Amino acid sequence: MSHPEDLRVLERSVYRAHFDDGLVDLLFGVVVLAWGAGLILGIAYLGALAAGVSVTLWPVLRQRISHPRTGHVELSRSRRSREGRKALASVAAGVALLALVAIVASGVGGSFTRTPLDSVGAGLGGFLLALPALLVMAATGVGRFGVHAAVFVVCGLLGMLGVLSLEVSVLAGGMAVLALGAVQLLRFIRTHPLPGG
Amino acid sequence: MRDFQWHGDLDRLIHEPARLAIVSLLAVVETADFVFLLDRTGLTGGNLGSHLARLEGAGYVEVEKRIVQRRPQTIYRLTEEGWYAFDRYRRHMGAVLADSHHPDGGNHPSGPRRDKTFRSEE
Repeated sequence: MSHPEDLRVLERSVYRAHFDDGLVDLLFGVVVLAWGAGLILGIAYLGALAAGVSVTLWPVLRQRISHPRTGHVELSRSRRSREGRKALASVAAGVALLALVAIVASGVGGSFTRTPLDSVGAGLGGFLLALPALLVMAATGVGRFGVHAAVFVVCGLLGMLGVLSLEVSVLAGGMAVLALGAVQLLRFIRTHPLPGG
Repeated sequence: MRDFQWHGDLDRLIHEPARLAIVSLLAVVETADFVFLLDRTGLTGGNLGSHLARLEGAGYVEVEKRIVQRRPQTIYRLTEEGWYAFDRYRRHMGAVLADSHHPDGGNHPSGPRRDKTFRSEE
């Protein structure tokens, strides 16, 4: 405790613990899954709807699942304002990227012969989804989001190679991240039993 | 005993490891509840409660009790006095540790020898 750096390390560790419950991963997976399903079903707003529901649901789930186990903490004012700005930027970037995926999907869908551009387009969904995952990793310092980014890149590659269509590659990425989130949540519940429970 | 005069100046309330952990945690957040401190410090409920009571008694920590979703929640916050005491303690310990280098470059006869890299850095 002799150096200010020690407190910064402690503060970062407290902040990172916010993501130990895997709820962000789970909800991110749900949004991507809904977006993929929306692309397949032709319901463009399904992803946006899921995003809205997820953002609303996150604090409620934290209150129900995480707070009884790891307690409630109010981060420092500087951290909160920094995170607020990052969250706004991430939401804006996410909406822009998913809109781009939807546009690409509508352009690629319907063509029977695959041109090189179609191949790139089919992989674009996964590659673009890797970007917000990398942004979240950079912003939070939680390495798990790097794994999500890698999953999306693999889905993008499978799309590019023609193994998966753009819609299915997005859907597969969403399912994989949802599963990783569920595993993380189960691990969190197992390692943090309810006090006195 | 003059060489160890710093012993007497040290804030012993904060110097105790469990209380140092509590105060350090409260120093990096705005507020925290009892469960959070329990989870992060690894102390038992009774132990944590008694340390928090001592810190509250010294005016280093303030307590707020509230009801969240029909459940009682006890929130702790480091007071301004607590902040200054913690800052003073950190400076004090920093100075003590900075002065604690062994005159032989850290090579005590009964201790492990430092490697060359460590010496060259010094």
